[in-house]
Amino acid sequence: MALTEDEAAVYDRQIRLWGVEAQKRLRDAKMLLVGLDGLGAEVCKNVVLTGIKSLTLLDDQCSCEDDRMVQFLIPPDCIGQNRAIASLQRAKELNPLVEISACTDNVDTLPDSYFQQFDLVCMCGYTKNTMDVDYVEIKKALQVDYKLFRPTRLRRTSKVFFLMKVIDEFYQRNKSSSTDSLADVDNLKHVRDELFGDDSEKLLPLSYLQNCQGKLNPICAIVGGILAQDVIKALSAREAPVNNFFFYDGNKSEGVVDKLCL
Amino acid sequence: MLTQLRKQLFECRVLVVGAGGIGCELIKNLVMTGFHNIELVDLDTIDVSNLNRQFLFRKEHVGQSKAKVAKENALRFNPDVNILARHDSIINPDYDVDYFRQFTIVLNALDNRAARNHVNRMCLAADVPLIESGSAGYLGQVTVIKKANFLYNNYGETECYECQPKPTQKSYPSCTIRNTPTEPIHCIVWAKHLFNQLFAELDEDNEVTPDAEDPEATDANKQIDQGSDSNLKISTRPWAESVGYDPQLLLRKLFQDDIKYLLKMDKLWQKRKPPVPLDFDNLLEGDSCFINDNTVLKDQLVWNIHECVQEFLHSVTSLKKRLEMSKSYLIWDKDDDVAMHFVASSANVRAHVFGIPLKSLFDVKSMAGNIIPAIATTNAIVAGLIVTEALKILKGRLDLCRTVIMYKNNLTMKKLIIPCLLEKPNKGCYVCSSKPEVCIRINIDDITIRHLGEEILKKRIGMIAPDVEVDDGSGIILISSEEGETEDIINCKLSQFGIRNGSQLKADDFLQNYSLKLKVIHEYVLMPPRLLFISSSKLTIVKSIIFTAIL
Repeated sequence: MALTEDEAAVYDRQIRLWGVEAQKRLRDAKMLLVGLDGLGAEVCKNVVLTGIKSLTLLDDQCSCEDDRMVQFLIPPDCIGQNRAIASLQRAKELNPLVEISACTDNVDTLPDSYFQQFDLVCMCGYTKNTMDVDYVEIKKALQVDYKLFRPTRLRRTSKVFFLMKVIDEFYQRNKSSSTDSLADVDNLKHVRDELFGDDSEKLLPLSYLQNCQGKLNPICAIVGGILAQDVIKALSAREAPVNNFFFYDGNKSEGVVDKLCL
Repeated sequence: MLTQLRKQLFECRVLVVGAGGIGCELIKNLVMTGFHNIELVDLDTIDVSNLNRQFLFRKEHVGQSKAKVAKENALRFNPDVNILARHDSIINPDYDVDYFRQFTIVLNALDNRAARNHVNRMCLAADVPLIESGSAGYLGQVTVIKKANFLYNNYGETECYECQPKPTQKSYPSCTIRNTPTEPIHCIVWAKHLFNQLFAELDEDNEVTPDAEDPEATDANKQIDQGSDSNLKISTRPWAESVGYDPQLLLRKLFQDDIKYLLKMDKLWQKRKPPVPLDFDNLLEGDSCFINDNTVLKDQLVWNIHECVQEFLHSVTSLKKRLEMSKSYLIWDKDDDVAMHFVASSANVRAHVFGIPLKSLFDVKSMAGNIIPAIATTNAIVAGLIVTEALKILKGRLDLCRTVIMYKNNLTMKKLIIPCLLEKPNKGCYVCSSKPEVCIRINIDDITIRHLGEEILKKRIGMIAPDVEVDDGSGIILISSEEGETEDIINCKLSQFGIRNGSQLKADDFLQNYSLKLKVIHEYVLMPPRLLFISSSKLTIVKSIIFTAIL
């Protein structure tokens, strides 16, 4: 079906970038977004504005005080409610041409058939154990043995990769994934030193551990922008997505793509 | 977040200039991050084509002030934040140096160079750090501009926005536009000029009738019997008024009579394909451009010549009505459908006459409106980068600030977001150096005071209300920013005031707190198209800027 006059008018400035064909593929796309944290809200906004067919927001968690600083889709007086439900109204306002619904199920409890109804699934704020429900490869990639990297390769690898490993390990041990639990830098340092041994400070300077608490909206905006752009690339089938990790280091204002694989 | 930073965010005052693509994202980021006092200035109103990225606006807001709607919507993120929204141009003299001085930091989210230049100067004058930003399609950039200041550990003298000359907008020689177009863009530029000649505020430049003084046609010119072409001696507007904007007559004059006149300048067509005047009796009904192909938008279809003529007649009729209703004049706007149909149809009829390929409405709009594609994701990332740089400035860590460039992902590049060290100021910058100075290469017998003021000082140098005097102790005032003071000499040539090769002029802009010395280099050979060079007198010729001035 051709794009309507309405669609042509609203999407004019992006059709001039990626063409009518790509816009039509986007309009036919059904997407599942899992995790409505600060990053999820940014991805949701970017993708809905772009004009896909439908978006399902899936989240079984309730919003907390942390969300106040990053999750702009949740009205301040709805903090405490389920994140998917609380985000629904503002997500709909972003673009009436997109069908948006909310689901409060736990992602781990849903059968494979649930996921098959979507063209793309995007997860925000999950640890690697949840992710391997759908994508075993991610878990493998994160287990890549950095010790096998050549020194030049190691220097090029973003510090954020090592920070991610530390936080992931920390969450595993504490069976928690709350950013509040990262407040004690000594605990993190302990995990770091155990993981990386003598190379600790070189691979991941202490300053990174001191700056990883809480979530900062502008960082969500940057990573959410790159992530949504990749979603758009995949759905519009115009070009290859990032291969395969994107790391953003706010201290350096640097965003790198790194290929991590076994 | 550090408690001290949180307090700073609460106390500092931020000025955001522009509530468009980057601006909407930026306001969201500022409010969410904890900035508490935000002032927002934008003169624009909301258009439907903004809605794919300017997420604070919805369809029901179309036509309303961007600044005001953005404020209302942003308050829903945090009702306790102080946001002051102004539906106004930042170039308004009310926003003087004292106004800028009240801000801790200024964030630009603009879409045009004139406003960027102005805010750059105001921030330099007020000594307030400025974060400059821009986006185009998948590309984006953010940079920090800060005058030297010992508070920042003697670090922090950066390049200003105008330290490096920017490429000037492409312009075309007047005779190519009026006499010898060879590309679609020539016809589109001509059609925009035609709109202005017919409906906009009267503009003596940018005439659209054949130019008999075309240097390429000078010999032939003398042989033309001008008696029978008395139409040509009147410029377009009075002629159109004399026939009551009759669309048929306009069509006949523009695409038949004027073309026949051009053909008489036979020297022009010795090596060119001559135009063919529009043949009214045989306007090919031709194939209708309607094809059942849903991969193409309606506006992407190219009209046949019959359709072009119909569109021309319709749009002239509606614009004429609108002109009568308005009692003043119309302003061309790419988002005005009728105005766009007028430009597309007249450009295409002209292209047809000259044997140039026709273009669809969609493509003509891109070219006529200089449309830069824009998407939500790029703007979101740029706005995120602006706030991270702003946080560094607030922490007093200007040493950590960077120019950040965002590239499109491709297989060879590993970095999508790249930090670069801030450049040191250009010592010869005609804006931020201690004694700003430029050379202007002009023909003093040719350039009027008006041209010096409007084209050189305002359009090119970016002043708002210049005062100009001859800098030889005589105190002769050429241009005064006080209304009416120098009105009587505005059409005089510079040479009439004793200005010679090597003379110096002093130009001041009170609002921008900016004073500039101009060294005149007389170029008596400058003929149409008159090339005019402006260069910082301390720079090599490589950095000089060339542009065409049409008198």
